[in-house]
Amino acid sequence: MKGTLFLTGGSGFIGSALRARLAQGAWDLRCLSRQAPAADDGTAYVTGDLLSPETYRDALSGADVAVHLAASVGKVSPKEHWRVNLEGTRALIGACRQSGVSHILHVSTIAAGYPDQAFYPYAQSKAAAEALVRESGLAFTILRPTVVLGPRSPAWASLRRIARLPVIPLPQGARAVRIQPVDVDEVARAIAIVLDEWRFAGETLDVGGADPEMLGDFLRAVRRSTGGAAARLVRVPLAPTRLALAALEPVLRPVLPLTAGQLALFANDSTATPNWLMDRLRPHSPPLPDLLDRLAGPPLAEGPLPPAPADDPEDAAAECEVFARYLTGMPPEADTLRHYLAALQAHGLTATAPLSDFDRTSLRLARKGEWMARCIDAYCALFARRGALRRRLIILAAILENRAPTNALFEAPQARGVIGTGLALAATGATFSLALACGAASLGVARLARAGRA
Amino acid sequence: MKILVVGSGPSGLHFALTALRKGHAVTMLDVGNTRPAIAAPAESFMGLKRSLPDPVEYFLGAEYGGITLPSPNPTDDPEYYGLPPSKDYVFAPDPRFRFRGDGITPLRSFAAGGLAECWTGGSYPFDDDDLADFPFTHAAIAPYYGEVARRIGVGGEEGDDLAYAHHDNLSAPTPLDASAALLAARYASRRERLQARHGVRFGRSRQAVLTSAHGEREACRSCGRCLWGCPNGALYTPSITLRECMAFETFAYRSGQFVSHFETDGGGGLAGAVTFPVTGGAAERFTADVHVLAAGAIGTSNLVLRTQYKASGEIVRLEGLMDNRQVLAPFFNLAMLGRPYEPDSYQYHQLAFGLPQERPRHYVHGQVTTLKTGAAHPVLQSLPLDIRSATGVLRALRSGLGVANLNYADTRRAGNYLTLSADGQEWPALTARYRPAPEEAAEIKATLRKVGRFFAAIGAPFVPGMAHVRPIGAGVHYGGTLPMSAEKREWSVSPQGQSHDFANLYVVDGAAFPFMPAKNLTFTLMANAARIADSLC
Ligand SMILES: Cc1cc2nc3c(=O)[nH]c(=O)nc-3n(C[C@H](O)[C@H](O)[C@H](O)COP(=O)(O)OP(=O)(O)OC[C@H]3O[C@@H](n4cnc5c(N)ncnc54)[C@H](O)[C@@H]3O)c2cc1C
Ligand code: SF4
Repeated sequence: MKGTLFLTGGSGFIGSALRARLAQGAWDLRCLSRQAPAADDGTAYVTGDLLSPETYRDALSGADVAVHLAASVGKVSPKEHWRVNLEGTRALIGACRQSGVSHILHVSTIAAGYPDQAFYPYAQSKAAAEALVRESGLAFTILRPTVVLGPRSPAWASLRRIARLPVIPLPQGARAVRIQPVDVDEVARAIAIVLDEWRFAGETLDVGGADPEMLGDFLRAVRRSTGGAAARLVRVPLAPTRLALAALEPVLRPVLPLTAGQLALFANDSTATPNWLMDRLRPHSPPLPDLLDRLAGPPLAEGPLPPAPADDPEDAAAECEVFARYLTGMPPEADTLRHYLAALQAHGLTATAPLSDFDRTSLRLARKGEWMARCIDAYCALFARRGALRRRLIILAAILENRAPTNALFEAPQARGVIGTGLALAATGATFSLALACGAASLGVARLARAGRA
Repeated sequence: MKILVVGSGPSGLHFALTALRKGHAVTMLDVGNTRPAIAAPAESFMGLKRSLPDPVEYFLGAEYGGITLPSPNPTDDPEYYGLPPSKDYVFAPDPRFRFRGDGITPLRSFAAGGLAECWTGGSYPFDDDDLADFPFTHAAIAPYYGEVARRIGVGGEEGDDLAYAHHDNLSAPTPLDASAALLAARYASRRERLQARHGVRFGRSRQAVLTSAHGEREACRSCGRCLWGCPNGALYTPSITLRECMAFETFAYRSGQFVSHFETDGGGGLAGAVTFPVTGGAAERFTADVHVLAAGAIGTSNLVLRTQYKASGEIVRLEGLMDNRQVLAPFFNLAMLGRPYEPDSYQYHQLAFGLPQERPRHYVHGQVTTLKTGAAHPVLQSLPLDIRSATGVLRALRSGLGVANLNYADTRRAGNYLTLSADGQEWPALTARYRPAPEEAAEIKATLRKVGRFFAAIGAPFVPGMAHVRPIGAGVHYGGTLPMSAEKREWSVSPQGQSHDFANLYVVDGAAFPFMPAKNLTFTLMANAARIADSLC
């Protein structure tokens, strides 16, 4: 037994890999966790909160080293990043001092060293936390892994999300940036080397994978490895994209594909500076293609599409009801519904007809209600004239215009006079503009949400 | 004399009627698909929607073929004809007719009455400029125009600025609808100025519509059903003449026969027609002294090509294929803003215009329709608005909408032809190639601009960006492949329609036209067929 190790973030992504590596029994593990995990894997869990040292001070005392992995990553508010990453580290350092723990292994991020951290509270807070560690008086080693890849990797999830967008927006950074992803097991190995060899010389060490690669090439490789068609990369200006994302973030954070901060990946080289630790890792580092293959697993759905909506008559009836109300302000008569179903069939708009993602989304939204149907239709009238929604609405309009009483709405033989007509046209124009704006916004949000879920 | 006529379109029937009256015995061979019974004949267009048990089925068809949808791919959109399901029988295909088109997509019909069962009735005599390439003058054909006008009933006005060539038996035109009346009045009120500035002639169209009863046919009663099929015979269709022919004991109408080719007699003539009954079964043979081709220019050429192929194994090329280019320019009649629209009125062209060109026979001919009962959904989907808003806009503007339909003359040019191409089947497929004249695009642009300025001046500006140049084939004015000519040439016919290749064969349809004036050809098809019939001893 080499000693006792107090671990924060032990149930997280890197923590899980680390526990697996340390499970061989060299270290006595005490794991801080917000909830005691259900499964008993032989690790001693301490239920507590990083920010409340009193909840784990007992477990900490007597430990030889604190390994600090806990951090807030991903799409949370800036406040949360600062609270967990900076204040959490501050609390841990305080508790270590009080409990007589003299060594700390702080796992940071390559982003903490980015020269450009604009809108990136995660990187900013991690950099501030590093400073705390350096000034803590404890013996420390700081590890800065690059983009860490693994089956549950948050970074992998975002990269894959970006790589699978219909077109990949590649912000034009000042220079062509490179990235050097590292396998999570390699990060765990790096931590184990530092611990096993007890190297706490106040170093800050980058931890990267085998070879750096251009970001665009990497995204293409990710897309290929997940079974996507060849990617189209489009250059978008970085600064405005960042500003736009930053402006949207407070409201739309949960549905955005990535945050303004995460764009830092596009602005900064994410390659690791060579050091002794990387020299030790290199013989084991899997080449990037192998890493991607391992991660990709079965390709994501892009092959057979899931069945189209409204395959069962009840769905189609509900759709007909909403669409008829939208077009005429009245529910459809039984006969209209019968014709609608038959005409969809006759024109091949059946359950088995494949639908694009856009078609599926627009139909799903348009079925929500008359106003939504109008909004989405307004958008489609300009940008998806041949899409599934338009085709369905046209079929229903054709039916409605050919039977009483709804035919009158299309024919309007009654006079209105010049002024009446002018007013009616102005009102229609205004309604259309409003519907168009709402439709574009709804589709935009839905699209982002989908990308977010993908 | 025993005469065999192939085809019951306007050409075949007016040939037959004249020949029958002259005492000849006529057997007419035809595929002859017939019109289904007319629904609720007493109802008006609006009444149909109220009173039919299932108006949706009537207007859209049992298979919903009357619904026009955008295809997923813009290049797949077919040309829009707006033909309703009640006219489907006119275009019912025949599996034996195999066609490949390159640069031309013609319509064809195997109906009793031919394509004109769903025509729009525009009937314009050709004048001497139009007939410059023909081996006869206006004076020679004028009596036959008069005769055909008497048979079919042509309404119009004489002596207006359009100055169409004279023929007898012109009857009164249908009363103008409100929109057309406003355009006509506006033109009349500033006629001289408009004439001087724009050079566009304007006036009443010529329509094969009765304004007073004529035998079994009633006068137009403004019911608005023209597009779906006139229920009372006011709008002329050739099947009316077919009934007239049937009254002759010397007339035999053999429908259900797809004519395959003629057999040759070894002496430079034909020995009879070989047909396949459309219900199946063995080939039949029909013999006669004289064989008359009136299968429509495309069908007629097909039969000549097949006859030559069967007789000699030779595949020839019939050069000179023509069709009138059509351009549709939607306009809005400003004076109709806020006025009611009139679904219960005559639906087709009530006004016409013309734009003389430097080369007189390249006169541009136009007709004006004030859109009324056409389906709304094809318009709605083309507007850049949600369907509900588009419906609102269409409702508000519908009464003032209209279309100017421009027709351009066509000439016989090498490289535009009909031929056969072997494709491994028993019979090679009919194959067409067409390329427009190089100067055409510029001509369309220039004339469209002129006509557009004129329409703006009469208060009906063109809707910007909406003018549509229809593809070749959509003109439905086919001809030129076996032209009438005074000299004897291969694959041509005499001024009397007699083939220079097969002695006892006559061509009496558009195939025999040596030029395609811009004016709608069918009136001349009928007159020319009657003229040829009259010339047969
Ligand atoms: C929508 C529309 C609107 C039109 N409007 C006008 C207009 O306003 N004015 C105008 O002048 N023209 C108009 N036309 C054109 C007009 O219809 C044609 O010019 C005219 O019908 C041609 O007459 P046809 O007798 O030469 O040939 P068709 O009408 O084509 O008749 C051909 C006949 O031959 C028969 N047939 C063909 N092949 C065979 C075969 N192998 N065996 C047996 N039978 C055969 C067919 O059954 C048919 O009866 C319009 C056409 C359309 C489609
Ligand atoms: S010509 Fe047209 S409007 Fe006149 S009776 Fe016939 S269908 Fe009705």
